[in-house]
Amino acid sequence: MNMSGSTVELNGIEKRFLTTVALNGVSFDVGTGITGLLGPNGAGKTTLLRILATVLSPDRGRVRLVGLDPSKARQRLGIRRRLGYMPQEPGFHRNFTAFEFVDYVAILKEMTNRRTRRRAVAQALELAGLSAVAGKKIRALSGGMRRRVALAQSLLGDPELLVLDEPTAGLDPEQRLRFREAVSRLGEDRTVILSTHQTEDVAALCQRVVVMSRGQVLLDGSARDVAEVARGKVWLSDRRDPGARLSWRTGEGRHRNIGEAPPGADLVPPSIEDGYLLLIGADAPDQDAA
Amino acid sequence: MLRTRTRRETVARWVGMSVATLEAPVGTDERVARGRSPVWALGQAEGRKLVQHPVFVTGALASVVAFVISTRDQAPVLQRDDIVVGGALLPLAAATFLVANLLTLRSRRLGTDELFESTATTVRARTAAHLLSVSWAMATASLLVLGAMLLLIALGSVGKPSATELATGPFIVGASGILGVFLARWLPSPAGGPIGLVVLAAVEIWLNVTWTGGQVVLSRARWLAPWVSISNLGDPPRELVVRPLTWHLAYLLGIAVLAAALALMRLGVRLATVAVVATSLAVTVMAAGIQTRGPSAAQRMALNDLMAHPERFQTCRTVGSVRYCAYPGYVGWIDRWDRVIGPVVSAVPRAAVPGDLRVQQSFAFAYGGDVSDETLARLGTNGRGARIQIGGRTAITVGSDWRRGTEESGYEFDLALGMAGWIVGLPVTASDVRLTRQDVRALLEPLLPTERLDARQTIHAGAVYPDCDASRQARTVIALWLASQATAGSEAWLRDATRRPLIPEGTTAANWISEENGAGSIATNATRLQAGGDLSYVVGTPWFASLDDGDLALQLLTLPRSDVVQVLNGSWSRLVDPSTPSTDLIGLFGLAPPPTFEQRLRGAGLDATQAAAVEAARDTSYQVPCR
Repeated sequence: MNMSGSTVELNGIEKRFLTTVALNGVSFDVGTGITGLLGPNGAGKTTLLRILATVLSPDRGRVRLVGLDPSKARQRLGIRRRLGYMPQEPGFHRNFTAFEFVDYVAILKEMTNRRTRRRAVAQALELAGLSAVAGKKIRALSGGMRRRVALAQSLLGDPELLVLDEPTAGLDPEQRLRFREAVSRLGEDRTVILSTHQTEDVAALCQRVVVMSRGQVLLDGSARDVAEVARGKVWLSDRRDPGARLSWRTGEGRHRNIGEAPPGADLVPPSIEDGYLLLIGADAPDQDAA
Repeated sequence: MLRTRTRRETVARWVGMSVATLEAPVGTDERVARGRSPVWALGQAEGRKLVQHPVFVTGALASVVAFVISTRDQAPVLQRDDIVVGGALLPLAAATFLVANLLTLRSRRLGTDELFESTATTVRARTAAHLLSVSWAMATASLLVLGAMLLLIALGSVGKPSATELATGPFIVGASGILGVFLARWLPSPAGGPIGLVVLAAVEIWLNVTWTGGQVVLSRARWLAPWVSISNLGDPPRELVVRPLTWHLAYLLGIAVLAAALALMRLGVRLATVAVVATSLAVTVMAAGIQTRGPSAAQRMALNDLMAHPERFQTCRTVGSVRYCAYPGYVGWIDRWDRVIGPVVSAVPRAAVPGDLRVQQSFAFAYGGDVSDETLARLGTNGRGARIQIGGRTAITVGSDWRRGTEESGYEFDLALGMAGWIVGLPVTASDVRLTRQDVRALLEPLLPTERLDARQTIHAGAVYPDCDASRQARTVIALWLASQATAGSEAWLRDATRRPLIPEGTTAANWISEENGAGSIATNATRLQAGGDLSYVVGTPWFASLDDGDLALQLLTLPRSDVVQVLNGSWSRLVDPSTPSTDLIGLFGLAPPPTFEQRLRGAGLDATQAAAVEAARDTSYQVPCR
């Protein structure tokens, strides 16, 4: 889907790790707003986000980020100055306090004036809901709080492009709600690309969804578009329908089935999860990239 | 193409960075806009972390402890102790190496490399910041050096330190930190630091102790080590050692710059870096060559003069009846010597004080320095304990070493005893003891005919003899009293010497007697006053006294000083006559007779059989009497 004034432009991106094809001709553009990358493990989401974060280069294809070419050193520097990145597995300097670590990253982001930098760090921590624990050592923080530290550092410098890889992984429901609140505000005036397994996050946050599997884009549209994939293919029954591709017992005691609905089936409105499951296939194995 | 990318990815993973960063074209200028470089700010942040690291703090504390241990017993001499300060910083240097290595590897160890690579600060800039952070360690080292100097000054130091020597320690700390960063970039493994440290320590030790033909020799190759001790063969005076410090600093600086440049070069080759590598390598090699050349002929000649003709260099001062001469840097010790000798001279009748009393500093203990062997042979020295004539004049010779604390009392006693012996007419220097015909006959008599032939080379009338027996002479007791009443320390030393157990602690009489020469050592301890021991004595008198003499001298100490002085005033000539026995003092001063040999053995817990064994082992060989 091409958008004028796109922050991110991807065209025919390919990436291979030894014999594993991580990305196979990925193309899409992204502008202001929140875009979700949805897909199973090994779909190529992290590889794609690492390319967007300029820590990995594609084998083939064309990438433009904030109007610049990351394959050129000088322009790559310009991209990094306008980029915030939260890796899937952000390491931490465990003996640093939350403030010290974010401050350290702030220096790496060229905030060399101590006073303004400390102000920016305090703001970033506040945005991530970490003001109360800024002085605590990272090793003493819970997993959820550590991820918020990772989020806080990505917000430094008011980046135009925010790349968040599995930002809600390991968060409890309350923490996930807080995260949604923070990110939704950010998406109002910048480009946010986040990857996730969680269809609820996508449904709640993303104006646009890119569903990926096996290194390819299966669907590029809105959350509603994803749900529409399952229109007429989701029905309820008292028992498990053997003809359904997927079937599970709901909390109300009936079975929710996804697949080719039999005539007269009790059809229900599809959710984004239904559409996602149909797209990737219920029995697709994990596709771990190298 | 696929194979090339795979190789790049392998290299990138090994080095610990992304392919995107690795693939920065050679020579590309990624320099940020002027004024925005984060290297300085990052260097400060890393520097703070470095000096706060527990390993660094431990290293600093270990350096403090090393300094205290190295200097606790020595009276401070700044031109020698500046070397000690440098050596004491080695634990801090080791810690800096390890911590700099750890901190440079931190992002790799803790998985933050990917995050950091997504920022505008390159790995090269981060490496530069780590190199810069080492300056904090150098600053800490400099503070420790300053603290050490202030402490030594507060303890009453003499002399002047060398600024270049003092700078060596912080330079070593800085170079160590830079080497740690270099190793982190070229061997990005947590095991690299400890292994590297072991290698560096081995190099330091191996270069400082060079073996040739099964013997340790003084080698100029020592100067290739970061820290160079004053000598690996002994403890010569600083003044007799040539230390090419400026070139050594240049050598250390060259190594540091080379390592820094190579660390940066690991992340991309640039023309400027290549130039720096080439230049620093050239400086390092040149400095290494120059500093290992050894002293020039002119330098050796200057050292020889310093040793053989001290009168050309020394400052002399007369205090009371004594003329003191000291080398520059030790003039402050004249007051220290006079605090010991003054009370000795003041207790002697004025008319009896020789008019030429001299205390002269000598660098006779020159073993391990850069003085030529010819000079050492000509001056008749044989390492520690040798006495020399200085300019043909008799003098009490004092070395470049003095102690603090409990060991100072031994130095005080020895110096006082040397002067006291001179005043009462006992030999002052080794050349004062000359053999008479009677001595020669008595010494040769027990020998076999074939042994006599060899012995006659050194035992003949007029030959110099190492020492003489001053036992049971009244003047000996007077000399011991004069020495022990000089200071509280010298009195304590004599008390300890006379109270030494006949049998070593930790064993019984029976066990000790069964040891080889055990009985003989008990007999010696019961007869001879062992006022020497293992200390490197300042003076070392060429005569020895008996335990009885020590007992009598201690008894004199219980009498009012003025009373003893009064008696000395009235009976000086008689008391210092070599023929006057020490037993005369018993009646003169009302002293108790000292214990007999048998009584001493009984007092040590020996039974009759053991006492008989000790008696049988008693040394009855002829001792040259002091005349």
